[in-house]
Amino acid sequence: MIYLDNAATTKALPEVIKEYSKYAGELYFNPSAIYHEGVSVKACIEDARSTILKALGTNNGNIIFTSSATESNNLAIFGSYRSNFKKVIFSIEEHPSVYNVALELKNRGINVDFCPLSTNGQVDYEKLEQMLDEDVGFISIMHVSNETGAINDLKRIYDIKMRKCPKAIFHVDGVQAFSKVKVNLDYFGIDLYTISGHKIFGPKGVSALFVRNGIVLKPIMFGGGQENNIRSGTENVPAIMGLKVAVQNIGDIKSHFEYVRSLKDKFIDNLSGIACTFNTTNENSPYILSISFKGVKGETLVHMMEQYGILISTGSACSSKKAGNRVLEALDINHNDIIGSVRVSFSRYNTMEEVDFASKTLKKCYLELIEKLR
Amino acid sequence: MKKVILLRFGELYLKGKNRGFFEKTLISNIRHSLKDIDCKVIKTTGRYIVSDYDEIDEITIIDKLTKVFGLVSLSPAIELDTNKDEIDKYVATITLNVKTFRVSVIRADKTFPIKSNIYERELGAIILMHNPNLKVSLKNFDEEVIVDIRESGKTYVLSSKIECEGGMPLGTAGKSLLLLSGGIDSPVAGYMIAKRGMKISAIHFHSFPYTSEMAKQKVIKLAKLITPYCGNIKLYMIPFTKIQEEIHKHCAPEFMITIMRRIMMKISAKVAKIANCKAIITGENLGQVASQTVESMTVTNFSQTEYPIFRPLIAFDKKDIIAISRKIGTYDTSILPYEDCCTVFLPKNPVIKPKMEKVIYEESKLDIDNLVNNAIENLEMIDC
Repeated sequence: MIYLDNAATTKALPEVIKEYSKYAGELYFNPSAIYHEGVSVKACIEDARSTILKALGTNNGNIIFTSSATESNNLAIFGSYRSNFKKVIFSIEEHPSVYNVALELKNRGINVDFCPLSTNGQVDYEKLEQMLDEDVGFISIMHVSNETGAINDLKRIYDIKMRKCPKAIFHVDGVQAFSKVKVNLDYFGIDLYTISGHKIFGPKGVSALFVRNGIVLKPIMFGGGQENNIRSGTENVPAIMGLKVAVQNIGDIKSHFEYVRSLKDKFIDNLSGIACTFNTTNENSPYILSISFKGVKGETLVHMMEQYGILISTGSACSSKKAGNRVLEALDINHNDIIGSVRVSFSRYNTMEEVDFASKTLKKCYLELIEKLR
Repeated sequence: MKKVILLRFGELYLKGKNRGFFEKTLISNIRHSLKDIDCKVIKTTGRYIVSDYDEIDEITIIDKLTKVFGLVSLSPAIELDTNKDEIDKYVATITLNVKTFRVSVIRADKTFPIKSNIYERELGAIILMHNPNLKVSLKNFDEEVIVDIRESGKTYVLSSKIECEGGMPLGTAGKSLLLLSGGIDSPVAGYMIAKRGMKISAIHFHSFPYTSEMAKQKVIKLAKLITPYCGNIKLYMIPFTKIQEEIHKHCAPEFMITIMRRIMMKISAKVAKIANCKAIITGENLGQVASQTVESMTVTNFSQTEYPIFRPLIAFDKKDIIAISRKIGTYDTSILPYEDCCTVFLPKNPVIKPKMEKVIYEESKLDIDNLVNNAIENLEMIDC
């Protein structure tokens, strides 16, 4: 099998699984217990927090562990929303776990606005500058698009924010960025940052939300007061410890980035001469490649590839069931091209041979399909 | 004193000499539906009684039995030894959360010393004494307390009556093959034909890679969802891709759907034989789409002559089909948005009133026997 759907999820590393089983098995104790076994498990969780903070390049905040990036995004938004916010801003390309929270706020009568995209898939910085003013209390803009791989210039956004609404809280969904592009939350001036375990070769069922010192989150779930009273519920210790190991194994981000870029370039090269457009630029994250094929359905291509043991996805796995695609639509891609879109997402563990074979097979499938549909 | 559930059946009475067969089938269906619950099912004159169950299971038992075809209604009841003191004592504990009530005594056991109308008054007085806010109303009552004194030496006290599905016991009308597409209509058609006593096998045509594995899983789920009504279902999965590609390649596009439907029927007839079915069932509904005109259905009917094609939903409005689909719990699964094979290669202008000669001419461009046999050879059977 050739797995090219790494933006959907990744296979947990053997080291991660080992750590996970250790804390699911022999060290199964409740970290809130006051006897030695509980206290020492608690210390391990604190250790995991430090590891993640370090990887995020900051010492000025805390980590809240939750069950999923969806929960972290909900907590970041609902938890920091205050009734005196006159306006909140989201980018139109946000993942459903942010976008649908924005729609929910709107339903509740809150003034919500969405920042459009430039043709390169990044937020339109000039429009953003026009949209921001003193009334804005909260901004959420993703780091790397899960659909196109576009990388938003967070530093530039932060500078705009500081000019126009310095008091606004700045949340970033970093799920597709963390471990793939360099992150320094202090440099970017980010207040809240979401990462996910299973996208970085860690376990499913765990996410970390960075909360900058001084930002007060209100809990959205109530219970035993774990995680500084912000996220009640017994900590998912095995998954948290697995996440820690995944973070420790990230390796050299820059050289992985260059390597994956060469995979992406190869993929694009091999598809030359057929009727498709690549919804990407050289500045995009090479880990995600969105391609729109002419005259076919992306879904059929995905299934044809599956017969060769090659796994790719249509659009984003989380929204592929729905007819349109909000993000590709925001890029002015026409409806038929959106239906013909597939997403290929690489990892540092994919080989050049895999990518070569997969792209050649995709070309072959496309040509075969066009022939049958003629 | 113990809790029991009384079950009533309806149309079986009409069945004359065959009644034994219908009753035997019904009790075996009842037992089958309750196979995972620890309880006893016995038959007395004119009804069945479920007893010896854990009180916590009562709601599950009722839920399962309301789906057994052939049962008309059921009532949770209290079973007492026939003994006036005991009956009085129990009736005194009854609390009714309504405004008006009446008591009805049925005295099948004529050795019971008090006549029905007198005992009704006595028991009504006992209930009033303990529920001073209630009023008796013999005609317009909110609730009726029934005291049924049976010849067996047992007395049953019951109040509410829960409607069941009615219909005929599953299996008393043989077995049929249901074309299950994954949409709203076909599971409802299966439910309806099962209600008249027919067991079901199902057939589904899939067009991987044009349709997905999810569409297949959805159909399996739909089949499983109707098993509480229809019993276990054997689902035959037929690979249809090659056939659709061949029709697309060789035949005029406006005949795509017509020819496809006809080939589906030919394949269904073969599978019906394998599965020992006596009829083919579809969820077709007059006028819903191009393939569901009377002309289209006529042309489809003549694709095979061995089996009758029943269309239980032929005269239903969509909203009525949806209402049944919600009731039997298939609607939410049916509307999941996966492609089904009918939407692949969909022509822009399908022929609405196909002429037989033209269809035959278009079909002559295909090696249909070979395509059909190939599909049958590659079928996959799934137990649902």
